[in-house]
Amino acid sequence: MREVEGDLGGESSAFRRGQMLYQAQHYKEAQHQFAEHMKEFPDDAICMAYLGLCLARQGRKKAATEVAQQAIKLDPECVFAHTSLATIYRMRRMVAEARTSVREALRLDPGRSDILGLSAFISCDQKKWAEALDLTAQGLTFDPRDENCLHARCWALINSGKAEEARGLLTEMLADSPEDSDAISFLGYAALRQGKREEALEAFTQALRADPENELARDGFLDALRMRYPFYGLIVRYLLWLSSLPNNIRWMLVVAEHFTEKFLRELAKRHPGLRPLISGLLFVWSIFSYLSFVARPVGNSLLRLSKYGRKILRADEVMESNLVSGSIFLGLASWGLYHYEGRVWELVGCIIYFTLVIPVTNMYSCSAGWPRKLMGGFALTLFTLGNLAIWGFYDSPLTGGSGADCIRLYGLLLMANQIVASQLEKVQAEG
Amino acid sequence: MSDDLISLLLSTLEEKPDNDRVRVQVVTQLLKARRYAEAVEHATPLRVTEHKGLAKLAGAHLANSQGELETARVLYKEAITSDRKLIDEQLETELEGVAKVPVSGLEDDKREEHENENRLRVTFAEIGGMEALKEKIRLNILYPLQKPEIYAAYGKKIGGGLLLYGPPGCGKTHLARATAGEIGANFYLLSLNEVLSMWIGESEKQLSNLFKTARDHAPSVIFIDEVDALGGKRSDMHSHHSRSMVSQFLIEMDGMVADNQKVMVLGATNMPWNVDSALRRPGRFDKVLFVPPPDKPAREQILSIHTKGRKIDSSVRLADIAAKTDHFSGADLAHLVELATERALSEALKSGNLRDITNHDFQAALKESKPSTMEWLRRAKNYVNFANQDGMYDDLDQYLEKARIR
Repeated sequence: MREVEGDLGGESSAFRRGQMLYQAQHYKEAQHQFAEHMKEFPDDAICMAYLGLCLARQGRKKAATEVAQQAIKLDPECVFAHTSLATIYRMRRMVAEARTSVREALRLDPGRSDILGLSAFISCDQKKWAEALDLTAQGLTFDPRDENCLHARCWALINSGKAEEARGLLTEMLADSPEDSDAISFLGYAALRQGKREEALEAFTQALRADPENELARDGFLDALRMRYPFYGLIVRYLLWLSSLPNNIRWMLVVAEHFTEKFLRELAKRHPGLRPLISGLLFVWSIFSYLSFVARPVGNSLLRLSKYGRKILRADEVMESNLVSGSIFLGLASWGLYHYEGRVWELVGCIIYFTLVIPVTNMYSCSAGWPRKLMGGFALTLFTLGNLAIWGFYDSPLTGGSGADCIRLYGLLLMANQIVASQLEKVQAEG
Repeated sequence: MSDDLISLLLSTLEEKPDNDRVRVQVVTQLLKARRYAEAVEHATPLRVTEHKGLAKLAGAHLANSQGELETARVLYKEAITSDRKLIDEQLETELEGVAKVPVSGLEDDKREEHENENRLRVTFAEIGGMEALKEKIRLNILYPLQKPEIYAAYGKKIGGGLLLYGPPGCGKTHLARATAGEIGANFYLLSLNEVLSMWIGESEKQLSNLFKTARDHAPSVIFIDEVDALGGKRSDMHSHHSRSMVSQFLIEMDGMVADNQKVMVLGATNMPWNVDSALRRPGRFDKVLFVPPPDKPAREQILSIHTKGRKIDSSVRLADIAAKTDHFSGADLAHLVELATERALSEALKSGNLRDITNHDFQAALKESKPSTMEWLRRAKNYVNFANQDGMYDDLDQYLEKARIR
């Protein structure tokens, strides 16, 4: 997303140098220049807001927030200070706060297409696609070529199932600026939504060539690569659809799934004739749900066999795929042993190791830093508890009988892990 | 209509970049449309053809549009000397009355003084390790100047600039100084601050003066630090001023104003991906070298420099510390020595007994230190993976593969 541009602050060569350095991505040096300017003009809110952005770009997001808030205190009517604060909040994944800041900016200057575009992006972060479309429509009336509005509009269209309309818009945008990496990525996502893997792959490759640091394109590229594996295409589309749903709808779906399962089991009890069909359905559904957890890391393990995939995966993705594959391997081994020997602890082992995949994937869905460390500790606790449960079920005089308690506690903590993860996913660790 | 014609010609040129006739058409139309910077860019390959006059004319127009009347006048003169058909009355009127370009150079004694000040004594011998890199610089910069006949015998072109890139704090400036020292050339450093001052002041003129001084005192090396700030992608630049500054830089590098023989231009950047691709065309920064974090011998040498004059216990083996500091930059190593020193110092302050900095202090400092280059290397990996079609990042790719960096 293009940043909302600031007006000229107080006239000083340090400020102008700072702006140039900021544009050239020399954030540390820019920060020094802005600080220099502030010595002469201590009340310059625009410069203070730039200082905040410099800090944020260097990973010091908490300090950046405070500086941007300070800028607003200096001049509550300064639009750039509000948009800067909104941008910093977005970087911290604090969407509600970002929304408040951008609303204030829009109140002060309702006719700015770039701010409307920023606001639309915040709506996209909240998966409020219809709202994002409204905002971009407003923004485009002020400036039909505004990059933020066009980008946010395309993303909202793709996620609200209007991939074809988005493609039309993107084709027009790319005719004007063929190197627009975000627009090319969106084209890739539109193709991915429509199951056109080759086309998506080509678009993502092109987007990455234009901007190799485009994370959106990189993720899409990996998804498109993984899609060559059986079932994965279906799961990618399911996950993309799921990720386009607002959080409350996703929770409602989980609850609905739970009650549907209960209803089906009851139905099977009352009508034994339907039992094979319902059991089959439930089995397929549970496999699909499970695959939605493991598909990405397992897909990564497979990608490591290819030269290209091996190069692209990050260290944390490799580690995740190692842990998930290891867990699945132990689960399969336990399952094999259970079939061979038929002992309870082997079945418990199978359940534990297969389900341990969930806290592992949850851990890596959180941002690096304290959220991931916390989830790592959680996963380790579950791993220990799970193994205690296996041991508890082993025919041993020392721990006999405690296995059932452990597995109950394991189940409870596994659910808690899901809830904590869903909250922590939104948190960005502070620099 | 003109824009349509230019677009058509540009697409034809893209298909047939070697067709001089089309190129001449493109440049002529761009000049008519007053798109001077683009005209200069497209005219560059014509400099070595019979149409070199047109290239000079484009340069003259650009210089004139930027208020660089002296430069414009010189270029225009060269253009019409080369081809009388290029006489442009409008331009001539605009340039009328402009003073002649002053003869540059200082008086002989002042000149000698200037050269002594700028000539560097540091050479490659003073840089530990990094042998492969030094050899590459020798091949690309030193030997062509020292043994031009051998290069000529093999039909290898001499000239052009060298762009050094790599993580911050890994000695790019030091290497550039040593390169100048090896050649025995005058060294002119253009730091980021100076570049920025140029943006604010009479940028084109200052840049032109710098090149002029370097030419007058050849052999010389102009070293531009953080070249991405000067030669950043013009598409990313918001102001016309920034774009014209880059265009002026291109004119100077191309030697359109004067011959750049024996003037080497070295650039350094931490963000090579932000450098305008126009800057990397033949004759400009056409050689690109990756400056990796210091290797083991270099680290040992850096450590010995930073520990010099400190109370170091005889049990401390710098070679062992160097072995444990893979990917550490020079700045990281300096910080490591500081941390170890602080440990010994704080104990001495508490106990009142002065003690040497021990191996134990270094081990503790190592636990607290991390190489700052990793973030850069991981970022750079994206460019290796996705934007290395022209092989610009091949040496970086090899380094990353060898170091198994993800």
